[in-house]
Parts: sequence; C-alpha cells; structure tokens
Amino acid sequence: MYIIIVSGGTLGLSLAQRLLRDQHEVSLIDISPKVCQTIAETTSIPIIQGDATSSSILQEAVVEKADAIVALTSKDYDNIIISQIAKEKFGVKRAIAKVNNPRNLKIFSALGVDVPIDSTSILARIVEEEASFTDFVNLMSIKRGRLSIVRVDLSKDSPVVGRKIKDIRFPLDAVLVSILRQEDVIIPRGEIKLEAGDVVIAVANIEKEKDLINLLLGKKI
Amino acid sequence: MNILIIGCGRIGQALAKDLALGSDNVVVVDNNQQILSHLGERFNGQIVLGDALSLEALERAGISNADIVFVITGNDNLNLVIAQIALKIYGRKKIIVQVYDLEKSHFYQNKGFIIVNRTSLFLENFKKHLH
Repeated sequence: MYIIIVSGGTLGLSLAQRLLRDQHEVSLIDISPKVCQTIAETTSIPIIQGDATSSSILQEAVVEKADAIVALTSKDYDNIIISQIAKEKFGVKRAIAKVNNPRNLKIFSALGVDVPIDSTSILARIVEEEASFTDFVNLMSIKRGRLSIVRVDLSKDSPVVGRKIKDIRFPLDAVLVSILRQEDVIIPRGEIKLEAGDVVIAVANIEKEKDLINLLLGKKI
Repeated sequence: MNILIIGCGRIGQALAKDLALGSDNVVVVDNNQQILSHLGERFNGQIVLGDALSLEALERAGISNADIVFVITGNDNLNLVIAQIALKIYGRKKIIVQVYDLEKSHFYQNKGFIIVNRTSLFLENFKKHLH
C-alpha cells in the first residue's frame, strides 16, 4: 500500500518507519523546514516540506496514488481539512486522523474522517479493561466505535447460567454471536442453556455494551 | 434575528458593532479576552469567551438558535471546520465563512455555506482601478 503521513514528529516518523518495514510505500509531509531537514539527513524516507492542506503539496506526494492518508498534526481542524481534501478532491480511500482533544471526536466523525484516533479514549479503555474486568474483553470496535464486539467469560456466579437464551432479556441492540464451550462453537438459539465456563461472544451498540455485560456478569461495571 | 459571529478580529468587531446597533440579537465568540474587550462597554450584544472549535462554547453562544452564523477567525481551516459543524451538527441554514485561500474557496463552494473570499475581494477592488 501507499500511505501518506502528515507530520514528521515522533509519532509520524515512527509510524513511517514501521510501515516501511512492513513493505509499504510511505511519504511524509511536514510544514516545518527544520523537521524536514532532520528527517532528510537522518533517514531515507521521502519527505515533502509544506502545508498538507494545499493541493500542490499533496500532488507532490502523488496523493492520487495513495491508499490512505494519516493526519497527525497537533491541530484538530488541520487534520479534518487534510482528510477532506485528500478524500474528496483526490479520491484517497481512507483518511485516518489524530484527535488531539477527545471532546472533538464527534466533529471528526460528523465531518467524514474515516478513522479518528483518539489516543486518550484508547488508553482509557485499555486501562479499564486491564485493571478491572478480566472476565470481559472488548475484542473490537467497528463503525467508528459505535458498535463493539465483546467476549464475556461466564462464571458459576453469573445470573444467566442455567437459563435458556430465549428466557434472557437482552438489551435492545445487543445480540449473541456465538458461545464457545470447551472445543465447541455453538450458534446461539433459544433452546440453548448457558453454562458456567461458557465464553460468550456478542455484538452490541456501544451504548448498550455496559447493560449487556451487567446482564451476563451480574455485576455493575 | 439571532446573529452569531465567531472570531472577533477587525472584521468581526466591526461587523458585531454595526449589527448590534439594530434590533438583532448579536453574540460574539472569541478565545481571546483582550480582543473581546475591544468591543467596548457600550457594545449592545452578548460576548462569549471560548474556543470556537469546542461544541460547548458554540452551544453557550446559542448556535442552536442562530439564524445567521458568520465565521471569521483568521484561520481558513478552522473557519471551514466551524462552518461544517454549524451545518452538519447544528443544521444551521445560513452560514457565511471567510476564507483567504482561493483553492480552498473553490473546493468548499456549494457545500451548504456561503464563502466570502477575502483575497478575491481585494483583487477585484484593486483591478477596478487599473483603467
């Protein structure tokens, strides 16, 4: 893949090096002549000095060939405009952008950034999961974080153990996907009774995730 | 009519003072207290200190009820993002945005807000005096 990274700071540079190692093609764009000079002198990564919201700079980076653009500047509004111009004017398929202020996450999604990366929320999630709930793991978030896939390990204390699936009142917008019981993968049907030791995989709307977990684990998280 | 002015530079100030003379309800937002104080004690409108990119500040300034939103901070990218927030998050119908860059004016035209390009305004005015 060909990926353009905007901002040659520590994050952008490390990301570029990592992607190059994984055999991707990468270009960096940074507005600071000093940053560009250092990168040009110390690495072999192609770097362009200029404003990444300007078409001529993006074209210098052959933006129309890019599979993705990653906007990592320290200004949220610049990251949004870079994403919009790259996508809408030059047809770049995916725009990934750093969210500097977590309160702006909603703005990124409303304005068409495909993957807003809010490092504060990501860290907070990891800390929460690692610190307190070993019997519940968020496997993946999709649809820009609005939908999540979770894994819940049922202990013998779980209020749903011994009950049939059809008798359990699941929150709206939450569905069981499968039940892993020892070596078996069970497709959940109404007649199936949950057992202690079952590993339940479920998909839930992010707002309903907590309700679902409370139901399955019988405790407040 | 509720008029929201985001950015209190020279143009924002002049516009706010002028519009506040009438019967309209004028609100000005800027993140710089000192600049806001230039509006003077006799300014007959509401002043909101806050970051224009924060939904909280925009809501405090009454964006949900604004009939007209003027976006005139000194930064094109910031202006274009705020205009889209007013349009897409708050459903405002009449949004006027100041942009300096000609290329960006062109790219963002017909996207639901009115762009006033300062560069081309000056150019046209200067050219008028050529002959």
